[in-house]
Amino acid sequence: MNKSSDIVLEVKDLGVSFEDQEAIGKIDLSVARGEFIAILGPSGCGKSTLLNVLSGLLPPTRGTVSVEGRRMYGPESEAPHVGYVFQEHRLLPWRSVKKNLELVLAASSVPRQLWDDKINDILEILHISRYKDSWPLRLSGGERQRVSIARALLVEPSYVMMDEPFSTLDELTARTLRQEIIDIWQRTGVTIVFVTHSIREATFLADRIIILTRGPANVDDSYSVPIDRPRDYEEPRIGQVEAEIVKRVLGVWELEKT
Amino acid sequence: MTRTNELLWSISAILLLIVVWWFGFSHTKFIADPLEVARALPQFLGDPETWFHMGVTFWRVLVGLGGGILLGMASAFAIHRSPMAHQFLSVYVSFALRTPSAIAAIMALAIFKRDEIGYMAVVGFITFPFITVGLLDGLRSADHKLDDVAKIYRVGTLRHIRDFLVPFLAPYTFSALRNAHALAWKIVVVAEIFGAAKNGFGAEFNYAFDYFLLVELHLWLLVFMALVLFAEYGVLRTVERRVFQWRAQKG
Repeated sequence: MNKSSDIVLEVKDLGVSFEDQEAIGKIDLSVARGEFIAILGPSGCGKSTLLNVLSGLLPPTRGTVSVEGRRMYGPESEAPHVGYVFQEHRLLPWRSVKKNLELVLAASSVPRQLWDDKINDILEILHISRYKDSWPLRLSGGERQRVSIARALLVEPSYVMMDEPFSTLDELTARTLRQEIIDIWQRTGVTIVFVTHSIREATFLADRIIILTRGPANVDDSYSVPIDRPRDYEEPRIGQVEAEIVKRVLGVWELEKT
Repeated sequence: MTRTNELLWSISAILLLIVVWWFGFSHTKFIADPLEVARALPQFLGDPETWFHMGVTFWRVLVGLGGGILLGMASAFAIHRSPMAHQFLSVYVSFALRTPSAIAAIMALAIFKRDEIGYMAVVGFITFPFITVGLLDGLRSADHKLDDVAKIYRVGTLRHIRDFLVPFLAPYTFSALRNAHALAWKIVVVAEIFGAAKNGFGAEFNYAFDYFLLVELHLWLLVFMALVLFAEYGVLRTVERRVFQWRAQKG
């Protein structure tokens, strides 16, 4: 495994409110370097708000977020280096794949002389080398999402956030990409915070699943997935754990018939 | 429609125009013989005077439109960013949009006399609100999802403008530019005629009209139309196709 004991991301007593509306109740969370965590919660529970806070876009109303031991949102704090894979690719359609990647590299701490090698390597890993000079709109949905993953990994991020990145893809492409994400994670040791609705997806991918309550979000449980790797998406053990988590969240998400 | 079909339709339209011209010549006293115009065309095109006057008009359009674009862009950004600028500049935009070109030309003559700047000022004044309105539409429909990408990946201000904002606004800019460009050529002629210009297409056209030089009148008109069409299809649309080549779908 890639885990080590140092903490990359630490969230303490986090709360977010918009005027009178509370979006996040109270979240405490810590993520170790190289860990793959999944955040699981029902629609509208505040997952996107949480990701906005963790990505540096939204200062919390209460609490602290520390990345690599440094506080975010402090008076003199600097935005952290993070990668973000969105639900939709969010590439610049008017820039080639290579230019899209160079654009984020220019704002990173990666020296310019390493750009070409890094771009070639990551495109090779994601099997999209031949699209280096293509326009994003000429790629399929899966290929665009691969470029988006490449962009997130290139900037040598403290952690990569993924917000339901496979939800818009067909099942076969999604399955292939899930396996590739695991391969890349194991190969690079990158820390991943993966948000999903799918309990099976979370069980297949993550070391640990953070289960959120209905909104305003609170952490209901931090569940360590008791399945060794490598995992198979169809293996019965995944189905059993999935069923166990479903049973657990039915009550928490108030979905049980009364 | 295939490219051959498009070409065929365009040629048909031109042929029909010639027929209408011929018909007009046969039935009125104010339209020149197409054949006579065709015969005089080579000599007209070989005359340096022709190109001097077209060059003068072209220069007035270029500088005036350039000024209109800069002014339009500045006012669009100001209106978008500041409610105060919105209140203040919207008055000028509305005023310019509703001012007839001939009135603007007469006012420019009164202010600038026959100075070159007057013709350019009229073009700039009439075209700038079209650029402002077009760009404002773009700014108001800005894609904030891409702005989030820029923030997360810490893209600097200059790169944000160059790689995010300018390409996003490009369709709106080109659309506004096409309208303003077509308008600029029409206005410069009005300005030259009402401003009693000594040279330029408008001046020569007006002279030919005053002295009833029908063939010359048509020659000026033909060359003027050719120049405007070249600027539109030879330059603007070519640049536009190149800028938007990324839009081609997966083949």
